[in-house]
Amino acid sequence: MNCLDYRRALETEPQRVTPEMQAHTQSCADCTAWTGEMRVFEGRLRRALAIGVPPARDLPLLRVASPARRFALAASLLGGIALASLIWLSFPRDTLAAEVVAHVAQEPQSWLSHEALPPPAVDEVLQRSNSSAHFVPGSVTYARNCRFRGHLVPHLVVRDQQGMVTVLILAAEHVSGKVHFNEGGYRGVIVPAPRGSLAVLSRDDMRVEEIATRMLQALGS
Amino acid sequence: MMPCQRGSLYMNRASDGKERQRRFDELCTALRPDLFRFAFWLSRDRAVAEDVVQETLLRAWRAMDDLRDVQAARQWLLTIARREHARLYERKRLPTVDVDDLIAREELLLAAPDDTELQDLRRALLQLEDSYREPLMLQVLLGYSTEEIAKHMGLNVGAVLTRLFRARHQLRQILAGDGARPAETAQMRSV
Repeated sequence: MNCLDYRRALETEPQRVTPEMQAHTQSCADCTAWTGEMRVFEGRLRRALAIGVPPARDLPLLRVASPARRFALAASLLGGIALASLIWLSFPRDTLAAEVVAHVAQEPQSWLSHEALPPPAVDEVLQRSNSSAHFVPGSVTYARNCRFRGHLVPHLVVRDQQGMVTVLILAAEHVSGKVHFNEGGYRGVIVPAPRGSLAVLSRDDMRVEEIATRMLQALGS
Repeated sequence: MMPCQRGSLYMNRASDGKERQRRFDELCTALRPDLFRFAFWLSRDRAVAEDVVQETLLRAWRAMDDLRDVQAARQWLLTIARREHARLYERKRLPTVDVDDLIAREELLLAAPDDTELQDLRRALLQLEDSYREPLMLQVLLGYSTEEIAKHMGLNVGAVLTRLFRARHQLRQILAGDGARPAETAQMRSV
């Protein structure tokens, strides 16, 4: 190895000293001296590059979630929305259906009677509310006019061999279509009627839809 | 018992998050100086360097789960920083800057009050071509081997050796006052 090769090698990779290079310095005083100067220069170069570092800025890490964390956050959010929806759907809402359920629940005595009311007694209740209907004789076991949303509405319990349902004739309440509900232990439906709407609900009779259709026919006839 | 199991699961997740942040803080504390110096000598601009560091750390935080070997953290961060720096210049297309202006602007950072030679050396480093300054910095400041520099810069080992030799040669020329000012060209801002 000659001086040029040695110096070139050391200037390229100062930390790498091969046996050949070591051998060269032992036999070359000039290169030994040059190596000393070179080492001093490298030390200064290192110091020159190591400039002062300004204080760290705050990293908004909390706003920068990792992909996994973003996914977890999104999943939590969706889960929360789903849970809130479920809770909202599970509890009576401040809607017509909820008010119907609340009203029926306040008259538990209506379910106790098994004796059919005479048709004139039923007609009288209906007439007081400016309603009319032709029920199958002997099927109505409870009939009275109740105050509901500021109006008198017929509150009836219709019973047959398969069970019983409560019917509210809501002449002042309009719905655009069928509203099914399942709240507070009552399953029911509110359907548009020739005048207003008709609510049919039951605690144990699953035929509310079918009975609602029959009631509508009775109201329309 | 389910509630307890669920509770402990959430506890683990929470403590995992804290542990993750603790590890990241340690990493930042240890490596930020190297990262800033690397970004500064790459960009020759303190504000840009700070932006690059910031963006690098944010990206590193997001991708921290990809880091399997803590020993490789510094190279990983420097690779991200290099990419961020390139992206920044792609976006901004910054104009050519006069070296004297650069030196004046970064006077505070380059200052070495008790050592004018050191200050001269820093000024000379600013004048080096980017393609020479980066491998020199990686080797001298960050202790990269030639092979590591080649991998980092996407070059072959021969090209890196040539650049390292020329970098020192050019630096000596600048310090001796007989060198042209190679970095004072449109190439200055190229990445």
